[in-house]
Amino acid sequence: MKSKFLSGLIFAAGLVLAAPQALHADETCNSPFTAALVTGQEQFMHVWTLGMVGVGDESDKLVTVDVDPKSSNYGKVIHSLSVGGRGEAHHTGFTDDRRFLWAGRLDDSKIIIFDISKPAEPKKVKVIEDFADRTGYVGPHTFYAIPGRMIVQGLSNTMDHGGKTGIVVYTNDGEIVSQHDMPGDDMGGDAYGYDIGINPNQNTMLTSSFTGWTNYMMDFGALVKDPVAMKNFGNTMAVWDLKAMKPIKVLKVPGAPLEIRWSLRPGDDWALTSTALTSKLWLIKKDDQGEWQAKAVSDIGDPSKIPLPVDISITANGKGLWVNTFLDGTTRFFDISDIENPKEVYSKTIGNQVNMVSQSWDGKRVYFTTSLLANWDKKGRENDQFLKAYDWDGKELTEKFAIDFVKEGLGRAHHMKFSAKPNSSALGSTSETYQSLLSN
Amino acid sequence: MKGYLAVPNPFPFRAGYAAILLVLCSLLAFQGIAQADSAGSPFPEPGSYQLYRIQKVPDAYVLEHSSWWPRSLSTYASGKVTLLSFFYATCRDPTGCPVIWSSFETIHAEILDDPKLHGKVRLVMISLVPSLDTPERLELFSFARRSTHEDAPWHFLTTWSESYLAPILKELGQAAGRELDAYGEPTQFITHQVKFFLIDESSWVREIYTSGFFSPEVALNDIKTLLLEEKKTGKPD
Repeated sequence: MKSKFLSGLIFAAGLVLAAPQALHADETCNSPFTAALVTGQEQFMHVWTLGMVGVGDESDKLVTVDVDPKSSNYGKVIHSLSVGGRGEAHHTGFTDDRRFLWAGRLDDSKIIIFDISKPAEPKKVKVIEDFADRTGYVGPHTFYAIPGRMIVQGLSNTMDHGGKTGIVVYTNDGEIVSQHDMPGDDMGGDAYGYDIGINPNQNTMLTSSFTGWTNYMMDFGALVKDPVAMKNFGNTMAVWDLKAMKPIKVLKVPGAPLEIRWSLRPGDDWALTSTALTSKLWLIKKDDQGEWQAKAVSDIGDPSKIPLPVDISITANGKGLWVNTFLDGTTRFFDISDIENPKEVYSKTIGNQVNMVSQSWDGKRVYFTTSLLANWDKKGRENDQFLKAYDWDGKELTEKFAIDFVKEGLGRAHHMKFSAKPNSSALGSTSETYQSLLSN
Repeated sequence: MKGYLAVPNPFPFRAGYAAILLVLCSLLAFQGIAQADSAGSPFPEPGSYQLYRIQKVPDAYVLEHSSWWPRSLSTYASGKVTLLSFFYATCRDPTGCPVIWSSFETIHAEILDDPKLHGKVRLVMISLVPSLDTPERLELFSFARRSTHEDAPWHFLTTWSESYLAPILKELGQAAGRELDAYGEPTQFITHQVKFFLIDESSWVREIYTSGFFSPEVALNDIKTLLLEEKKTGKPD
């Protein structure tokens, strides 16, 4: 029998050996449980694209772009997979083995699962059509991998299409494991949901809050003129015990806190979010008593002009943050070396509107897309719809290529995910079992 | 995680790795103890939370002791709480199988140290390279642990071939493959995601861990949670 001390040593060794994976989880914004980190040059970009009336086949689609500068197809669309209809395509997320990409639609609540084991030719392998019927939640927004499972954050509900919602945990095969309401009045919460961010070492999951179906499907111009509707936005974040999947604390973060980014720097245990309506960066961190707290640490642009902060992307070293502001089409780079005092050090207008930002692991390449929500995007000539790729040298963004998604007959460009050619073939691939491994 | 398939080696890792491990262990053990003392564990107490049913362990044939006697995988995943993982004997990557081995050794020791766990928890490792890890070769591992088998059984399983292994991998969601060379052809190097599957007495997977965030302490909490649940209800919900 080994002594407890020896057991401790071996346990510690396991932690040491495991640490690199724990601390350098994935291209900055994915779940830390996602495998097959693309640390070098990304080769493909998958863009979850909203169908657009009068553009191409008008259907939602997964568009794949070759982003390898060494390729003869660099900067070109190499594959487009229409999924049928327009259901408000929004966000995507890899399974933990990175074999499948889950993609959600906020209007009809469909979840489409793509096999990306051959990333140049994604295949649709499953559609979950009963998310709303089985859970009572509407608008599958965030797809966040944990081992063998996918956590899906809803935005709304079937009862009143407001912001009260919850989380559903699925197996990677698309079977429901459990569901969990967002914390409501009894905890001082508003029961709203939006994004998910997990810090495994702290056994902590953070969630943020946006708005319900009625609002996110409303015309943006009408929405901002409707004072009642404007009250129906989230003002909280929730801290969850990840293991127990129970909310343990609600944090007041007024103004619709959206994307959550944990620092990936070793030793850091803090996260940032941005508030869409109040244009601030918020820091979530433990205080001296070990209690999770949230505090505003910086304005984003001029809050009085409501630039509408949307996506944010943290650098792998936890020292920089890209923040897009939708209405002025601007991206802003913040120096967050002093996390209590972030400073905007660079800005650039990307287009008439800009929503999502995605950076390579080394931070040297940054990509932008334009669509926020079909009914919130700008109208007419201001309705830019593109994917733009830039090089970033720490001082200046230099455009490398741009794809006009309207001219290409694709639609509204939204969420982006990187992939690369697989470096292995599944065991059993010499027999028919290989194909069964790859299919669902 | 990869390893080179050359001469079969019954030992989980080489002496060089063991020495590195020992140094790292010494450093980290003290750091870990200090952190635990000052901050406490962020994980809940055993029995204070629920582990949900994720999936059933698949039906499959596996081999132990003999190539001539196929056994059902379910016999190794029912009747006790089971911790299951995949390995192969010649795996060399220090972030791969050695992590599994050290974690299993720790949990095995903890089970032996706690009489309440005796005979209630089973460890299972399944080979990813059945062509080399034959039942006869894996017997070396079983033999070394025969004296503790009653209190803390530890099984080393394999399959007839990759064709029999592949469905198990697929059903459990265990990624494993052969690295490709510059021409896209499979090589002898095996790459696999390190995963641990915690299975209840009724063959339901109740928790899945990956190496980066696997902690024997947390796994033991989960094991105790399942045992408390079964003690309370007789059977899981």
